[in-house]
Amino acid sequence: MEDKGKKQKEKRSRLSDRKSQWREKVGGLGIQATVLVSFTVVSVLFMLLMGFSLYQRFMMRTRVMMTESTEQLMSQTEANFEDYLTSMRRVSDALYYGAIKDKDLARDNLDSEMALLYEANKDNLISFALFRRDGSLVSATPVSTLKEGLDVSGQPWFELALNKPENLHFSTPHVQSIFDASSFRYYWVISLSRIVELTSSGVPLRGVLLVDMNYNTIEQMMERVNGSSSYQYFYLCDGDGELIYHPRMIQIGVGKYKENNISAAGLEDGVHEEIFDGERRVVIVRTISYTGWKLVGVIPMSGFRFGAGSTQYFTILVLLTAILALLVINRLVTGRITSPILRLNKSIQNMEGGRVDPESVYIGGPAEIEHLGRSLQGSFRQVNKLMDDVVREQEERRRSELDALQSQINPHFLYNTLDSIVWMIEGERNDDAVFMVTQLASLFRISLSKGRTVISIKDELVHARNYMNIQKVRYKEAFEMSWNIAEEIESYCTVKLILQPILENALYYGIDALGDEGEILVEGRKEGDDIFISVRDNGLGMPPEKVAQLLEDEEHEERESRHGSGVGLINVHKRIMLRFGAQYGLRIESEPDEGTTVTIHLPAVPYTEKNRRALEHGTWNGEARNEEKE
Amino acid sequence: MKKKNNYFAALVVAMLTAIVIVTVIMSRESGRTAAPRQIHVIIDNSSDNRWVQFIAGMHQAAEEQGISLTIMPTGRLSGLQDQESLLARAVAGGSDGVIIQLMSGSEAAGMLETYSSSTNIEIVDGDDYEVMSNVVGIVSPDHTAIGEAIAREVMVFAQKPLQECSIGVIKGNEAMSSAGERLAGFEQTLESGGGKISWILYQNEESENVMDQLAEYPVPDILVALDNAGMEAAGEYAAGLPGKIILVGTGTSMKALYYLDSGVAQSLVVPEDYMMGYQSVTDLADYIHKNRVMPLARTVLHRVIHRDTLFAEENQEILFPLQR
Repeated sequence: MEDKGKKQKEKRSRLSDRKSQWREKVGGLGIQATVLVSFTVVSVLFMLLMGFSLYQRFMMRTRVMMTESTEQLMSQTEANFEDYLTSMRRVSDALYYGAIKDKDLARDNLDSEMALLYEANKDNLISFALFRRDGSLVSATPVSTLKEGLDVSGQPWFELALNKPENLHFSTPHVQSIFDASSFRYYWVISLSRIVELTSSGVPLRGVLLVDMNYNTIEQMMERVNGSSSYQYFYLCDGDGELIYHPRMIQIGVGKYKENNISAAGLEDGVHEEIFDGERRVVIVRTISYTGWKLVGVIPMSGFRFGAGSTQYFTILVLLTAILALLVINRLVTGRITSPILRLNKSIQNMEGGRVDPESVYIGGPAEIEHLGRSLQGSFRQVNKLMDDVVREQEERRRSELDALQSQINPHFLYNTLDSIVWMIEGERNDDAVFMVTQLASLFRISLSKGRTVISIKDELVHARNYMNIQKVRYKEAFEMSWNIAEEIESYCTVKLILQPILENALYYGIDALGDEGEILVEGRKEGDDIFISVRDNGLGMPPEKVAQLLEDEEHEERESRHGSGVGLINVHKRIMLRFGAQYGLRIESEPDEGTTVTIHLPAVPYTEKNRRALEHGTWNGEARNEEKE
Repeated sequence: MKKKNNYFAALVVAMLTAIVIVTVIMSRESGRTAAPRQIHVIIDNSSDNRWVQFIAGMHQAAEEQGISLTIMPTGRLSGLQDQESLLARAVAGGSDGVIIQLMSGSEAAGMLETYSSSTNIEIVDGDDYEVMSNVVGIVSPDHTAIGEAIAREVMVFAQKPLQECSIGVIKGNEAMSSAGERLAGFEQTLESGGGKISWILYQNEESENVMDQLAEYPVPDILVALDNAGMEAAGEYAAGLPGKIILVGTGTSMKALYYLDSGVAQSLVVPEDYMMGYQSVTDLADYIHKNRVMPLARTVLHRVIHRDTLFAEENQEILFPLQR
């Protein structure tokens, strides 16, 4: 179960990733594209739906019309067949009742009457023949000779006539084979046979009258109706389904084509649907009276689409053109609708980058968009005002913080130094006192620096030297002081009074306890765009945890700073960071009994009035340094 | 934005392309219905009665396939040169396909190769598979098998031991390869049954009337005709000698059938020429309409007909096709 859940989660995650990738790729849909796609999709779907419905309706109507038209055609053909078959029956009747019935075969000759009737109907007839019951020929027209040795009484049409004397019988088509075909011609015929009463020497006899109808007539009638359209076909079968005519008669005979004639023969007159040989089709059946023959019309379902090919292509063409027109029109319409929104959007895109000029916000378009623009313009004005207030407040706060830090130095240090001078004067060390006062004056001159907080490194070093000179006097030269400063760094900017607190700490916490073995080394160098000033002592050093606390624990710093000038390392660190950025400040390295090194890390900002001002006002962003370099 | 404009332009171009494609298809479809494909037929002595069934089959298939069929009027063809000029005429007339009864000759392959690039050629009544690479199909009866069937019928109807029977053979048109194949099949089977041909009557374009030629040979016990024209002549000959000759052969014309019907001939081997005609047009139309691309060889069947089966239901439609 868990595996299944995991898999589903993974699947969902993959799906979501793909969506995101797709969005990234296409960049998401804009409002115009969304509206355009929506309009177009809805319109196209609607058109397709309408097109499909209309096409279905059209096809249904076509089917009904085609079926009706086929039925009409079949009615006409059925009538033609009935006329033809009736006329054939009438010929048979005329021959029987008009000639045969009244004659005595012993003395009368039938040939002239038969020949006359034959001449009148020879387009539709092949021959007349009259047989006695035993199969012997009485008379035949046109004059023909029966095949030698042929017994016609075994022929199906002969037997049928004798067995069912009440009817006239129509055979299925066959090649006439009872006469000698010395002209090398064989005819396809349909035999119409009936029993007749003959008189010979006054004795009534039974015989069979055979009228061989020309099959060509039926074939031509069927070909005419079949030639009327190519989407359907018609065939003729007898009541048992035996084919009389089929456009593919021979193919059916040799098994190359199949027809459902047996089943069709059992159908009532009307329209039927069937599936034959895997094909759905409509079958229309008409029964020809008297013969029981079935005229069958077959329309395969594909036939209903006959000629619809061009309609289909035309429909597709219309659809494609309509979709194209829709695309263009939708594009124009959506462009008009979304243009004000897009212009408004473009005008406020700068907001992401910071300040926005409220006057650049687009005001126009429909009332709603105009109102939105005005609201945004008002909002931007307010936001800009608030931002200005915040910046101003922050600047003021920073200034006051710096001033507060600055003010921490003076009272402590002054108190200690003056105490030393008093102590010198009391000990009549006047030269030392003068030196101290001179150093103190220099120190205070630099401390004040006309109220500036950013000074040159050179001044900062002078200030540090003044301070250490004073302390040396106070400590009676109890420690060694060395300076190793690269001259090039002196012309760069620094925050005022950052070296002195570090030296003070080195004295108090580093070498105070060492007696006269203390050493302090100050080094300054420039590395690339950075300046490093380090103060190294050989004092007691600190464990790592204490080193870590020095620049982080403000309370600890406060506790410790009570012993010095009041300015702790953390304050120096903060001041540097406030002026130059978080990447600058102090780094402390110390090991117990090994001493401590405090390194000041500053950016190499040349000391110019412009840079100084920028640093003082907090507008320095690193560019000034680069400009200067250029 | 530019990217989206590109998408829209691509969509418009795609739609326009689709419209152009549909328009082209529509115009092609309408063109296709306007002009039916044309097939020309070149057969030896096209008005001969032996082609009645064959032509009926071709007409049926042409109607079903919507093909315009032209049977080129020919007399008795003397050789490939006659056929080549007819073939050239058909090609010049813009024929989409030609059905040809190929005459035997060593240059047949070269002739077909020349014209196969201009039209689609289908061979009938000859199974020369060596030319298959230059034609789109062959439809033919198995002439050797017909010869063999005739020989078997001879054995059935011989009224005395075969070795004692004199057997005369009318071979047929020498120019047609089919004549040779039938003779070979006949002779081989006959000899395996112990029989032997007494004489063979050869025919070519210059040959005199078969009846006159027959008069020059002794009257045989069994007369064998290996083509339709020979069968017709043999029937006429045998009818003049009632009860004296056993006549067996092959033929498809009404006259040949009549001699069987009237009892002059005892047996007739009838190739299904109707199916040969039907299948040749159907196959060629399939090729022209691109429904197939590979050449196709078909063999049509033959039927052995006796007097009592001549009008059997299963035979009469094939033997007596309705003439159009």
